Amino acid sequence: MEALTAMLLMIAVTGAALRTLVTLRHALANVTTDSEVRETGRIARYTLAQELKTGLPGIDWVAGGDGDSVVVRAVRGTAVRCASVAPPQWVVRYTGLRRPDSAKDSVLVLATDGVWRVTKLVRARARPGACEDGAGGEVWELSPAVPGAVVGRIFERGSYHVAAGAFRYRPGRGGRQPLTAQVLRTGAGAASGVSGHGVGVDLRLAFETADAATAIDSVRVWPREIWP
Amino acid sequence: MRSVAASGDMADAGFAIPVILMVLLAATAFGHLLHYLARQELAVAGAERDLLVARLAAEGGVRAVAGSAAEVLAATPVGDSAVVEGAHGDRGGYRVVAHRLTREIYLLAGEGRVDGEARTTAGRLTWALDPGARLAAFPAAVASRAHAAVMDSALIAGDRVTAVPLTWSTTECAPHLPLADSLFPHGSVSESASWVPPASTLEPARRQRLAVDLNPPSLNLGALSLQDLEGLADITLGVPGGSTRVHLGSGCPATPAGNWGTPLNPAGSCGTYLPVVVVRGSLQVTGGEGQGVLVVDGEASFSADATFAGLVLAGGTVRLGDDVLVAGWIRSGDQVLLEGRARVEGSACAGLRALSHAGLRTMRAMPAGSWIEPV
Repeated sequence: MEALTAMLLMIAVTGAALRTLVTLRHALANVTTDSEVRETGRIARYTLAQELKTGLPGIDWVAGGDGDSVVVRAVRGTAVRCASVAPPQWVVRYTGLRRPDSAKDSVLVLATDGVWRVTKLVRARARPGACEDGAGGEVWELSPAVPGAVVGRIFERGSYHVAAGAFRYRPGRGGRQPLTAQVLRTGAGAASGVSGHGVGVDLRLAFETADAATAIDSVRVWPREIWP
Repeated sequence: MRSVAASGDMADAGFAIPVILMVLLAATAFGHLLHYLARQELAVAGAERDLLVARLAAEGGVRAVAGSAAEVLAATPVGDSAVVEGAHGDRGGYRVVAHRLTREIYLLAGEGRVDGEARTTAGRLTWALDPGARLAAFPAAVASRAHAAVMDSALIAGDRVTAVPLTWSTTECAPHLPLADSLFPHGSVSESASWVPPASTLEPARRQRLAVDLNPPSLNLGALSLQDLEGLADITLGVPGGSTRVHLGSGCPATPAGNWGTPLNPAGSCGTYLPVVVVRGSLQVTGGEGQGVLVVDGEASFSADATFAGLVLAGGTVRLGDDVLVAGWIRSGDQVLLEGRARVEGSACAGLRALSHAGLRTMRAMPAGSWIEPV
């Protein structure tokens, strides 16, 4: 009798332990997935907002026709004239996310007449004491030269995609690099996508939930210029 | 026997306890993981909150400087900069460096801080009208997109600081008087384009050339469009495509829309009133006196002995009849016709006085893209 009781108790305890472990495993998977989903949404929203907000719709960025991408002028730095020299050279103080790269960068230049022009960056080199106030600066060469240039914005061509399960960036004609974990529902008929209506962009991120349903995270990204 | 029974109890207890301990360990590990994830989320949320505070502080600082410091910045030499600092909420603060890039273009570089630590930056390009720069961009008494025709004994004269019988004090124009030396009688606006970039390098929707007024098809005054001018105008008249007839009289007329100031009596109560008047459609001034900035999106004609001092900016033809006197500058999107004994006294002083209007001097976001990052 004692042995039978012990066996029943053993079965009950083992069953309860197994159920608890399975529940913990599912809960762990849910928590991890939720964390990745939140991170993916955060990265996609923040990145797109940063890239689009200082640009003009239809000029600096265009939502792709296939509904899963947006092509952008990805601005990577700002140069402000800090000394007067004859064109095509231009002495600037530069602030940027990375160094200017003449192999892939173009420059959007504002001149004294108030007009923005696109020009090519031929050469950029740092020079200590280049600015009129003695501070370090850079000497750039533009083609065509822009007389009276006062501000330049370094940019590269790129595109953001919601494809192959992740939010991705494609610099120029390179490959599409994932910026997030592969937790999105993408592809033909999937709910994830990027579309442009009016002056903003609609970003829809579709995730698969634990019960195999689809959860949609939708946000509209507005360019900064339309705010007051 | 007792010792055997005891060892049997121990064996039963030894089986259940390790299983429970394992479950407890797994639950503890899971609890720790949840705690770790929760702390991570909390840290991310805190960082996002701080970044948002810093961003709002930076952008708020830029807006505050653009909205309130236009006069201070206007006194900053070109190429120089001024620093403005302020608080934003309990923990936030900003530091804005205002660079004067040209006489009219500024870069406001704002730094957002949280608890004194710089977290983010936001820059904005702004524009504020500089009367001297407007004149320097095209220093002519009469400028037109087409031509200026001077008939009969009409006259266009340049280089007049004050124009008889207008007698305002030259001291108020003293800082700008050197400009008056370079004021020539008339010319075509296209002559001012010293460098015209190839069309392919011009940005679509960014073609407006702020240095030159009268960008067709709509008129402008620097970065101020017709809509902007209408928004800040003291007097608005007419409807698009319509025709407005005004007799100004003299002194301070009772109707606000008819009071355009009294240039012939600068010491009078309306002598220093220099309104911005915007007229939609065409305008006929049939006499009297007025001053300030007159903006007409169609044709503007003056007849009888009408006198106007300041800036006349018209999208269409400007026609001056017999004995009409305009002292200041005329800018026409078409042609300027002077008949009979009409006179244009090119006066830097009259134009500069008119452009000193507070509404015109407000700092504005650069059209076609003002926010820039990183900066």
